[in-house]
Amino acid sequence: MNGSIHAMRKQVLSLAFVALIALIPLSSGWAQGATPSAPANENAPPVFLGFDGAYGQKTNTAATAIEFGLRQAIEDINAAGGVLGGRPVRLLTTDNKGITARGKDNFVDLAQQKDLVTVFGGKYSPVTVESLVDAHRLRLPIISVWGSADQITDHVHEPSYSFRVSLKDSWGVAAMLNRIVTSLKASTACALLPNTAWGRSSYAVIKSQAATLGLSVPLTRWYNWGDESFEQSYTQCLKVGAHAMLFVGNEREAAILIKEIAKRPLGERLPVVAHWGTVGGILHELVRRDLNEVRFEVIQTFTFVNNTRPLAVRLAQAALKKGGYAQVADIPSPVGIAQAYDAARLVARAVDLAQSTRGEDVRHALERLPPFQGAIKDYAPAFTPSRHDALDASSVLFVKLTPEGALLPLN
Amino acid sequence: MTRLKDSLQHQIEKKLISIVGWSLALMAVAVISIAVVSLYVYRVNKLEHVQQLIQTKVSTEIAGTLREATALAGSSLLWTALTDSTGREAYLEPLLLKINQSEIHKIILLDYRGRTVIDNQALDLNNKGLQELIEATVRTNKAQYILKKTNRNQTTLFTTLPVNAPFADTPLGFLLVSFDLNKLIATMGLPTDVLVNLGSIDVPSLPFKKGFWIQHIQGDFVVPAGGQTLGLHVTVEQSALYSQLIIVFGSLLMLTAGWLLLRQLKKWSLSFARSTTLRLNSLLDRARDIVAGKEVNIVNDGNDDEISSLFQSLQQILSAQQTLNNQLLTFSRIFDHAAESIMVTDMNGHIIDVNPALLKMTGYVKDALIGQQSGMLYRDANNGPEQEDTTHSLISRSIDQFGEWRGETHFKDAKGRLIPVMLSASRLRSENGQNLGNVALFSDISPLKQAENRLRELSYNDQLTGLPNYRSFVDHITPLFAHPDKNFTCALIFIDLDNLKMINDKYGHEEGDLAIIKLSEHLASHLPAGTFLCRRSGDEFIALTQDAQRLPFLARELRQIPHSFTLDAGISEPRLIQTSFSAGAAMYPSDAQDLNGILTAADMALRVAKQIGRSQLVWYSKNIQAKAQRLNTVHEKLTYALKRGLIVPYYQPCVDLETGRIVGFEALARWNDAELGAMSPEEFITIAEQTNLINQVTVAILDKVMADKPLIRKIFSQATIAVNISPHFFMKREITTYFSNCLEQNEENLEGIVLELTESDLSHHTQAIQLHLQLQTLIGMGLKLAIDDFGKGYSSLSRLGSLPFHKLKIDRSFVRDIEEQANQKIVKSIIALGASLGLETIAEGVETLHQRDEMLKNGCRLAQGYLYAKALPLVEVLKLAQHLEPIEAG
Repeated sequence: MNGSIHAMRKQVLSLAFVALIALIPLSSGWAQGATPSAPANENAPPVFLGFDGAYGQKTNTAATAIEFGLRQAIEDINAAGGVLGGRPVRLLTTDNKGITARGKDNFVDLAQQKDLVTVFGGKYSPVTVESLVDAHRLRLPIISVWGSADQITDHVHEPSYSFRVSLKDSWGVAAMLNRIVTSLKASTACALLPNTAWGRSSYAVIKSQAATLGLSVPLTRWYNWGDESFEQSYTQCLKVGAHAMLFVGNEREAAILIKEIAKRPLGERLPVVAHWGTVGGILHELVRRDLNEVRFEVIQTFTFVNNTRPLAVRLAQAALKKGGYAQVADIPSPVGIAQAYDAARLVARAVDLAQSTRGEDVRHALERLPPFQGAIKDYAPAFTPSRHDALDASSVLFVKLTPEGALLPLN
Repeated sequence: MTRLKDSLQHQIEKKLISIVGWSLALMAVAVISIAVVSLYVYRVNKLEHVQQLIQTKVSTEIAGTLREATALAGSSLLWTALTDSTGREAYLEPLLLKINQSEIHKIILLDYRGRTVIDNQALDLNNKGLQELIEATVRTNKAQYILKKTNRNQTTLFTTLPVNAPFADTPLGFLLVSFDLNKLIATMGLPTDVLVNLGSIDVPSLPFKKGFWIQHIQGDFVVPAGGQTLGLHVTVEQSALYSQLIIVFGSLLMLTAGWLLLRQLKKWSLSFARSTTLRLNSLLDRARDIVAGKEVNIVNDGNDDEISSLFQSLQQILSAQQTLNNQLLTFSRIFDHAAESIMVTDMNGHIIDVNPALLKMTGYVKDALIGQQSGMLYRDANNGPEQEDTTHSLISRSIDQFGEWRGETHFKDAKGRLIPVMLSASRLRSENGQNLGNVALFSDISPLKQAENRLRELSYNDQLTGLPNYRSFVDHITPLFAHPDKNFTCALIFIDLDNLKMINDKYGHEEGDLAIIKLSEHLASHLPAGTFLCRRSGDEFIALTQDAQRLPFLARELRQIPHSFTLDAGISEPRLIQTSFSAGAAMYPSDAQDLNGILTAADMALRVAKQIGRSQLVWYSKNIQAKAQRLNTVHEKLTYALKRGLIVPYYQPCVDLETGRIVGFEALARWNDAELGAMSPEEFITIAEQTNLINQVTVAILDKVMADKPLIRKIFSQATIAVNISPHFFMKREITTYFSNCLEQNEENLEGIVLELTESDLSHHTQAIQLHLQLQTLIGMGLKLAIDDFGKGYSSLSRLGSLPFHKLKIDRSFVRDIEEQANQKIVKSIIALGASLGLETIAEGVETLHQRDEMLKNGCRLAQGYLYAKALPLVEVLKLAQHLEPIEAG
């Protein structure tokens, strides 16, 4: 590792530290509510959790949401006495800026940290996929809390050190296809996919399942990050007779698409079922009123709205306080908060189970966790040796985004 | 020819070889220099061109590659790839492979830390410089470059550029672009001997090779690199060894050719100089000949070149010059030896030269005249020698105006005398008409002037008498009658010596002239004072008296002048000659009213005076006019009668006084005019003599006689026919011609023809020998000669003795007055003379028996006269008997 990486990491860590100090007064009660035990010994050697997120992405809110969820979980853990007999859990974050190489390096860097038991992967599936080799080489569990690419958990490594508390395309994209068929009543749709591992994962699902679901997808168009327009692809969609569009991507690309659809006459405005990356940022700020002009439905695994699960409520309250939101629907990237929170809580439990900070041990423990009532769901258990995905299609819901940024569940 | 120290041959050889040699050397140096410089410039230009090509190529290629790389860095595909993971090889590898197909440049995709993204990128990044470049790029997130040079002089430009995506706040990765400049240059197909060394501008590259045959140029240029500009330094070099070898070879070739040329030129120059010298010598010889005045024809020396042309031209020039010199010499001699005086002046009239003739004429010495104004020498004769006059200015003006002046003027000689001269002055002009002065030719016309004066004298004075001549008279009288005063009156007298002819014949013309002189003196001394007397011609004088008061007495005064006087003559011996003059006078305005009239009147009076007996003065009157008219009428009729043959001979027989037998005849002219009647022979013969018709009368009679002679001689076989020959006819040679013709035309000879001449006729012949010869010629033709009217006038006995006469005819006056004692003696003497000289003596005018007897008594047997017969026409003659009887008139 060179100096610049160190410097960068130090900066990130210091920022995280400041945020942590600020959150302490808030989290104390929350932790207690979670567990009645004594808080962790702050002087004991901490057990570290690592998070490599795309902070550097300008429109991305996912990283901060995940970090919030993680910190909320750590706060709760430490409040409940930490792990391994009172050792506090600390969070180390790195910024991969959405760049796979950077994420891979960050992973290796984090892995060097003594007593770091796992690294959480963020919104960008390729970054996590890119880190898989090192995770298995270094035998350090990596847990994706937003990535949906099938490859994150479906790979050749054995034993697998990768886990996921997030949507998986194989059933998430299937749910989206189903949404098109059932909710949008469309029999023909086109797909607009990023030219990445994520896109390719989605495409694999479309190929395997669309027909089964009764949806014809005659056209799949690929785009690259940074593309400035989808007019051609959209026009092609219209030409092939698509009645709906399946869109995989993030907020920036979604904003372009929505604006371009909104400019079209009503008859040419196809309803779009979008992957959740689109709401992992400030999409509403990018498009505002155009959101009203386009039927834009986004897949989610969690919502604060009307969520009565205790941890969900607690998380909502904490988020509302911290972010100053008027309502829970306004809390950005709720899936990131919730999935990060649940994942961190699961890791803490795994460390305790393993009574070790060794990656191999933690991995082993994660496959053998006891059931846990998380913010999202009841995990019973979260993982098994053959199933490293904690969620399934049952968690799927669809939301729409309001111009004000609220994510309102549909149906 | 003498051996010359620096001969033309030597000069030409030396100069030519020197000039051509040096020229060739300089030319060779110039050509080699130009070749070297040209080659150098050409190669430098070529290298510059190569350098420019390299610069352009490198700049273009680098810029193109960088544009490609920049486009790649800005492509969403690359952004995606850098945020993608497993599976991206599917699209990334083909992309990179496609980009990196070029051998020259490679684009390598690096991740955010400068590591290769795709492992199979064939570029070794493991060297220090490259690593530092990548690190610097990663550190600064900015494009960087490095120019790397390997040990094998391979130059590669490495540049990096960040891959920035709009969605990321730091570069997603980097592109490393390598640019192999050597490979690029290799693709340019430069000549193999062109070496290119590219390097950073900061580290100037050195030539690969060193040596004077290596040419190289260097230059800096910039190319885009790493988002900025990179200064490059390029060295292009090429070996000029082959070119230099070619130049050396070419130079050697040129020098060899030059040496050969020089050698040939030397040979040619020697030959040319030799032949030229020979030709020039020939020309010189000819020139010498021409100058020496030898007769040389202008010839061509057989060539057709400048020397030949010069040869001819020089001959012509020298010849012309020689001619000119001869002319000048001639002119000079003319100037020096001319009889005419010549004076040359300049344009200001100053004398610049004079010839000896002028000095001789004027007596000046030359130095005294040179530089003097010529005008001071000319003088008008009417002006004194010391006076200024306008003669010179007149001459000058004429020359200025007409270019010449001719005329008489005077020249002042050294003693100040004026010499009359004939001056011909003319302007001297140059070929282009420039005034060079004047030339004046003088002739001393003093003798001419004297002659002229003498002539004038001659034309107005009679040389013999010293009296005014007729011209003078005309000049004198014409004005008087041009505008005559009404009171003007004058008397005009024509005077004529009566017997000048006789004097001339008898004593010679000198005595005649003396007679004229004496007459003039006589008249001058006797004519009234104030009388204008002139000699008209010959023996004629004219006197004019204007004294009105004396005119009434003039007639008396004139009558008192002796008309007959004795001349005290004798040139060779003292001699007294009796002579007389006749005069005719007329008065103005009583006798005539104009000049012609009075002249005619006076002349008429004179002629009458002559006709009526001479030695008298006849005043003009009406009667005189009638006589004169008679004279004119007879003259006219006589002329007519001669043409018509009306003048015929009458033959008076000549008889033997003893027997009465007719022995001959004398043919006497008779004219019987239809109007005037039978004309008196005295009258018409006199008029014929006065009017010069006497010869025609003679010829007319002779013609008739010749025609009649055969008839007469048929009857009177022995009869002679005597014919009077006028002195004029005799004096001319016509008489011999006439008789020669007669002999040729008539078979009959001239026998029996006797020519009668008077002694005065003979006196016209001053040359006795000629006279003798002529008489002998006539005798030779068969003619006989007789002296007519012997005893009348002055007879010369010596001439009579010496001349070959056959007969002697005693003048009738002696026969008529035979009664007088003196005449008897004379007749007796004449007859005796005739007898002594062997001549037949014939008495003329025998009219009485007494006279016949006297003649017979005195020994004269032959006679003619009315006693026997008067002159008879031919018809009558032919009827005559052979013998005639004397018939005394009753």
